[in-house]
Amino acid sequence: MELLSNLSLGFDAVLTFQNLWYCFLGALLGTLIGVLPGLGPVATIAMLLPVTYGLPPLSALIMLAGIYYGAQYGGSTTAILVNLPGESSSVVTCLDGYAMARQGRAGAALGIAALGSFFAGTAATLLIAAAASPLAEFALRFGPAEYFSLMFLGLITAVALAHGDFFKAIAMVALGLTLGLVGIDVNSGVERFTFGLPELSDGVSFVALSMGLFGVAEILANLELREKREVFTQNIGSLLPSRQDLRAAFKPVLRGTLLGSALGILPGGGAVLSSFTSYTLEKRLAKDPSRFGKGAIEGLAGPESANNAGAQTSFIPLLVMGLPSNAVMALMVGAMMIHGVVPGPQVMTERPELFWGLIASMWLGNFFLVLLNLPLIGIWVRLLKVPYRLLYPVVLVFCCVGVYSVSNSVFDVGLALFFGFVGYLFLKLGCEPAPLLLGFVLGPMMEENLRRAMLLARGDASVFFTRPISCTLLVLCIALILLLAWPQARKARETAFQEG
Amino acid sequence: MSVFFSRFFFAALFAVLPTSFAQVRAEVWPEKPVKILVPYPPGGACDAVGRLFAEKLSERLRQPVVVENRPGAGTAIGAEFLAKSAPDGYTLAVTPTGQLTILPHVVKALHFDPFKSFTPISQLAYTSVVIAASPDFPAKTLQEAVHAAKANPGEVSYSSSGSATIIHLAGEYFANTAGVSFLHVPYKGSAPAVAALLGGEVNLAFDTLTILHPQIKAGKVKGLAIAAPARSPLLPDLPTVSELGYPGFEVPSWFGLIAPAGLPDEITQRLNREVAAILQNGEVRKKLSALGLTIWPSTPEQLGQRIRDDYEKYGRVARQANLAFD
Repeated sequence: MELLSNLSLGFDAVLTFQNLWYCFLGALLGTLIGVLPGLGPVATIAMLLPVTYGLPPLSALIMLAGIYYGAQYGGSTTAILVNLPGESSSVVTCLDGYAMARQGRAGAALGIAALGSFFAGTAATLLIAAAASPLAEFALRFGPAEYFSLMFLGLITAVALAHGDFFKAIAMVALGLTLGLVGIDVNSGVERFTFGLPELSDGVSFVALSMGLFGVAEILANLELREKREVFTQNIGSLLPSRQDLRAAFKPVLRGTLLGSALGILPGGGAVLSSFTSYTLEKRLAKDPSRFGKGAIEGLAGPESANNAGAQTSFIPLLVMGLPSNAVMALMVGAMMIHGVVPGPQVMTERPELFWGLIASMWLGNFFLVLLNLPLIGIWVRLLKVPYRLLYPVVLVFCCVGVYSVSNSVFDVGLALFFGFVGYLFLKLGCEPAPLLLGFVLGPMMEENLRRAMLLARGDASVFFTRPISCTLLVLCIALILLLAWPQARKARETAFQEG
Repeated sequence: MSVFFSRFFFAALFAVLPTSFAQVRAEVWPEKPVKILVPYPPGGACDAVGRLFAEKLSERLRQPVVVENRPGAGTAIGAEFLAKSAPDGYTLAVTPTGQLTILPHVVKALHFDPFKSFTPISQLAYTSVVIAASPDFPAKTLQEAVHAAKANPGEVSYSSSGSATIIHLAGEYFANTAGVSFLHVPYKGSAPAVAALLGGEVNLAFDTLTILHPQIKAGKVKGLAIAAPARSPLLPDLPTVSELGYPGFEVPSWFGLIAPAGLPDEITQRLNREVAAILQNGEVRKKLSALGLTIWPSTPEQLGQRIRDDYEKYGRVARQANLAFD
């Protein structure tokens, strides 16, 4: 019953006209910047930080949090409509969401994404309210050995993401890993593959890479087609998902929520890993995996729920320990500091109204997002009717603005254009960019944690098998590899993939 | 006639090139918004300091003062950007300790000179490095930790927020001072480094009072000592390193305000006066002290001297720890 009294304390704090308004405003702004490709929550929150100076701390945090999870919603809209991942976690949404849109089912895709996200957001919020502290304790038990094993598992599943040639998928993962090597090595402080350019010393910008490979490349490829898109804009289909869609999406949403909630707690790759893993899981469980990448509703519903659940639970380390797990959470710390709230374990006890108020606002924010998004679907879908020659220059401009806004760097804009041409080549060669991005995200973390684990274990590699969580994960990896290598399984897989 | 024409010509030139003349018109500065560069992404202590001063400077200068984050390359990108900016008083920057005092020792190809490329304006505030131990680590005091490190050289580990940061150098500096050797485990920033301490991955952590005091206060980690001249009012029970037998061991992590070299003296003095006034503001002191930061007013010359002194000090530490390239 403590949970109920805590939640009622939270709702008491939130249910004022002012707080509701800021919650709504945050969700709305988040949706808008999420829809604009490239322009992410980090740049927006940074820009809006001064606006919150005059607000009470709770209102400010409610609005900023709303921008963050609102952006997760908005990001999937762009991914579905124009194949542009706004966030690393919406990369997977592009795969089947965009395919659905091409089949004239954009409305259904958007509806499933919104409803799945709402369900995931609600479940994850309850989870935070009920078990934030024990979950945070669990996350602390994740040392470098566990991280390494988890990332390794993620990389193996990456191969399953591709729906083309098996070896091309491995090559793309390897290329992603290689790109991830660029920059200052965390362990030794040595610069690698930076060619003396200071702009590269923090590595290749993820936003530049993903905007280039997905967005710019897609636009270039479409220049070859003469307004061919007319075909699928004529036939938008029903705006809302059918009963059959909902039934197909139900279980993936449940699984995605669980997976996302669990992985979101882990700092760093949580949100990305959860959406990729959910996709792989759904593909493994599906009776006919060949539909994936061609508009499978499970491949959209699972990852969408997973990334939203992950976005919510990524607040746990911040709220419970004052330790931000990603760039947006670091900004929330900044916002707290500016408002004189010292982030740390004491926030929960010293400022319970702030802690529980923020949690209560997350549920309300998710509710507002559904209210906002379902009626908006019609408008978004109509965007597809805008002719290419008008839509694409606008998308390109927003891409550039978005890439620039990440760290005010012109270099990154050039990089995005460069990767646009590279991505175009990949399209021509039939290579999937999604495994590359996963390799790029996981590779550096994997290396960092491998070396840290070895450093702490004084070079004793058995540490990966003597720690129970790490060992379990590695056993799973081996099982997966065996499954991939099993001749018959592989043959079946290849035939399944060659059908398309 | 020719006088009339040349006057006309110059008037036209003034009209089309207002910005290039702004730098010589120090008496009317500031006529347009002022930019404060922060060499980190939004969110950390440096950014918080930048935003606090931007807000207060804006009130006093009656011009908008905006923070612009120019992160990257361990603050080198921010420094290079500032060095290339015009010294017209419209581009200022918050400089963290390591930017001008550590980076030049550990990065070979820098496109700025820590002494010649900038005009020091004023020190702003400082926090001190704190040494903390993981809850699982048997040592409860600094002496016990030193004993443990002496008994098993290179076995006692500490986490830092990154290689060649002020935190890393503080760890190496202490190891030198105490005559021990620690195992350094770098992380990507303070948050994972502190999480590693909480989870018991590492035995010790060095980080600033800003980062560690909430964890020590909540009893999540054991505070061992603070590398400051005096105890902090935030943690009055935490002894200083000097008290514990290493006199003079102080590692302040400070923030200063700088501009590109060649800033007109009137603007330097005006900004220094405004900063001094802001530092006396009760609300500013309160906000800074909640973050574990102490105000640190100074003359421009004192900041310049501080940069030179710390440059020498960290150069020695970096060479002893084999971090310096020369």
